[in-house]
Amino acid sequence: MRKSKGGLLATVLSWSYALLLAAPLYYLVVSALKSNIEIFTRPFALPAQWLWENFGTAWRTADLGRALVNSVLISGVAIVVTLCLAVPAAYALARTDNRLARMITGTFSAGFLIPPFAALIPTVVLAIELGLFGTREFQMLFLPASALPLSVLLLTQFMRTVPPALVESAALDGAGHWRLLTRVFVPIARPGVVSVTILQLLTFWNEYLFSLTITGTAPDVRTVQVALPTIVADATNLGVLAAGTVLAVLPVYVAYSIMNRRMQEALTAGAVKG
Amino acid sequence: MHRTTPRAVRGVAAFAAGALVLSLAACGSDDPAPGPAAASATGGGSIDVVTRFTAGNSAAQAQKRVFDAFTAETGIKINLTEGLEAIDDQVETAVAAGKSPDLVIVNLFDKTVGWLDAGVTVPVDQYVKDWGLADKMKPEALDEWRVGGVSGGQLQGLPFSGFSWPLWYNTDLLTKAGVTEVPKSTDELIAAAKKLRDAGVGPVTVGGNDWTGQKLFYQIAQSFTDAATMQKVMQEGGYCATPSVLNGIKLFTDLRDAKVFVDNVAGLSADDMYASFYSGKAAIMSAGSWAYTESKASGTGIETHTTLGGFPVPSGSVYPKPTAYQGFTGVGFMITKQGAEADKIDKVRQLVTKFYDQPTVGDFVKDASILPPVTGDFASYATDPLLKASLGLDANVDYAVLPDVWIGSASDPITQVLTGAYGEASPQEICEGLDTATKG
Repeated sequence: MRKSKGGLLATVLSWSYALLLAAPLYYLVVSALKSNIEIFTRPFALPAQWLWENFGTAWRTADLGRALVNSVLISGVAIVVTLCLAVPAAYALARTDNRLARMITGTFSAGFLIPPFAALIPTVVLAIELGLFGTREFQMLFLPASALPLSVLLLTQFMRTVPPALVESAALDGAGHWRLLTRVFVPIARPGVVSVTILQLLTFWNEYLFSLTITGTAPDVRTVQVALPTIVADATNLGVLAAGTVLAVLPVYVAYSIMNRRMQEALTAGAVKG
Repeated sequence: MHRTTPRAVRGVAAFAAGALVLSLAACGSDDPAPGPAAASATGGGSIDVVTRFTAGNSAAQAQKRVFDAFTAETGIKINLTEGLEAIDDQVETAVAAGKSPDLVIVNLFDKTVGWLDAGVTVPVDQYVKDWGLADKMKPEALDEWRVGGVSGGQLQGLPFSGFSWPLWYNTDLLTKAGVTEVPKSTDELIAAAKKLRDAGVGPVTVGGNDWTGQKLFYQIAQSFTDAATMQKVMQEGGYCATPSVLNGIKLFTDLRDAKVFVDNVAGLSADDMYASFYSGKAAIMSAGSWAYTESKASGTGIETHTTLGGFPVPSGSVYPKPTAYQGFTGVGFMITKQGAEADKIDKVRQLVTKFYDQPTVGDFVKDASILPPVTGDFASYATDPLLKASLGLDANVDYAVLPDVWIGSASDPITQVLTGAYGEASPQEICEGLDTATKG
């Protein structure tokens, strides 16, 4: 009886928490189908008139098609570069236990201490000096650099869970570093790789400050996060803005849904492996 | 005046980047290397433009028609970049990076007021004469874009988007509450606010935490002060030390405490203001002519029962009639150093002068309800009923000093102080805050 009461409480709490998380999403989606007046006067009600055309207006007004392509391109390249750099680095750090390795790990950890605002000015100067100011290419290079500390540290922890006996056995069979990395470490640390991919993809997709300041608002290079504010005016059509936001969030939601199972594996990996 | 709510964090960051990078670039070289856009412009006949008329702006379509026609007629391609809320920072950073635009379509506000001094843009006095615009343009419009706002000052840019900024009164709601006439004195306003509240209607709505609240505050605070003194105080400070200004601030807090403003006004933004007025939740708002188009588009029919007027004045005011704003510090054209170079300036001339053609100005009047910066008959383009009414405002209102040019880059910190003014701050706290914000 006590157990069932506890179960009921857990269910209620779980649903309450889920509703709490869903409320902003619901608000965003219903706002996307309303006029300004309705958004302010009946914020949580369903639309009296469903303004589906808000999506088309947002798409055309902010030229979201091109912006989405830019965002996909920048995020995609940046995530590939991040993994190409972080996976080998994590492998090396996971397999080495000496003072130098610890120092390098500490250096990566120090990366967390630098707030993005503090890095803004030197980064702008760097972009100018490299001749990459106002280009997508700079973001493709800069975003992985900013993502490396967390990525390397996370992946290192995952790779340290690889049993030494397995590594020795593979080495005895003649496996070199490349084979060890690709056939032993990466498969076992796959939840970690997926985890890093999702986390960094979200970060790259949502990045605004550097995209605005360095890449800029020119239609051929701007990301979706920079394109969206062009809808804002002195008297903004907030329904259209919300519709644009839904369109901007949608690709990330789809990507997350596709990788959801892997993400769950990643999140529970520590518990399973003890 | 077109300005959306600043985002402090992004603004500070972008400002820091822009400022430092500008100074670095200045130390490094006087002639920044031209970027790819500049290179293409030199070779292929293009022009780089940054505009505050972003896609969501009611003037965006009219602007696009000008650009399309310009390119079709001249073969000159326009590389257009949209300037967001921090357009000033965007342009400064681009200039520092050697990717200066040729032309910036922007408000005269905040940091753009200092661009001529900083060497970002060039004076346009001679261009106005050479391009045949001197006789077309309204002298008062040009004066507002001169350094110091006086007729002898250097011209910082060419004004384009003029505006009027009246009080909007929902006559249906006033009648419903038993208010038979639009209030003309502050006593009448207080009485009207009480009746409106009794009828369940909000009185004056405004964005207490943004630029709309800032402008309305200044409109009230200068009730007892002549224009010249007010301009000096706005520019140099002295809010506490100037009795007439302090009296104006006291008037503001008296009105606030008499519940003339809607509840929780300190937390409202311009968007809240528009929505509550259009939806009939509040009976009075302070909004510029740029909102005429949007009010009609709201679909509530608000434009059919709105009367435009001024903000009521107290007894002893220096203004005999209720006050409103009008001005030409809305969007205008600022020419950068790069745009003034020999290979660019003629392209800039062709584009800028095209904007001042009568049909083009008329198009903007029709689409975005701008107040024309040039002389001429634009009545046939003023199809919006509120714009028509707005053209007759002069007889019913006095025009107060618009703070934009005078407060300059102190605008954002002043708005923060005034959010407190719409809350519970005392007159002394407000004037001290304004003095501190003005002196930086």
